[in-house]
Amino acid sequence: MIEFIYKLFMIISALYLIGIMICSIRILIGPSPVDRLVGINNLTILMVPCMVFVGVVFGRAVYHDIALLIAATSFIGPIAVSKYLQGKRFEE
Amino acid sequence: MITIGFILDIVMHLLLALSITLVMGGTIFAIIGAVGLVRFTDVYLRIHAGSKCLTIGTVGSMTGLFLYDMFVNYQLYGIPSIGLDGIKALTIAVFLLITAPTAAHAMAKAAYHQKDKAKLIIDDYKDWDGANND
Repeated sequence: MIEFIYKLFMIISALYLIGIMICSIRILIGPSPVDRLVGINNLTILMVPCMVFVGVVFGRAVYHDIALLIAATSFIGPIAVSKYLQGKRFEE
Repeated sequence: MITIGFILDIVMHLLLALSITLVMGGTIFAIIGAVGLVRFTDVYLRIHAGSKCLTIGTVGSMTGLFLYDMFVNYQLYGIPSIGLDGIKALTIAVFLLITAPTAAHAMAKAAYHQKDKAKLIIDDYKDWDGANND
């Protein structure tokens, strides 16, 4: 039974990887800078469960720690770039 | 003969079924959100699709992984307990639930200030004086 669940988790990780590829299409063809910013933010959000499932299947807890760091700090970049696109300085 | 252990076994296997359902449902939500990010025609619609579907998909997957870790600990030790992986998955879910709408709100404000207002029918933000100052 545990082998079946591990195969299922590998398939789910591959599905999240397909979602990352679809988001990278929007990063490539986005007309405005905000479109590319939305694509980058959603790519980093989709990167977290993919790494967590890979870590569960291979039994390595390092993937969980890296995914926790990405989930906690990845929103700072889009907020800073959107402040820049509004024509403001960073300390405002 | 129905004992406590038999009832606990049935409850934990139902918990496993619930966790696999949550993980697969969250994955389908995330894929649909990523497709909507490509297929929609406006910046605001893309922000909407990405924010809602991806947030609920990833949070559902992480919650399902927390329940799965509880089942694994039951099979290892004979008692349902919360392990380190489950705590990490639940912490990831809480962080995503806080940070993803924050980034989506900031990006929607940036899209408004980029003068991308061609398809706005109602613009309530226009008459407010603090729109250009805050």
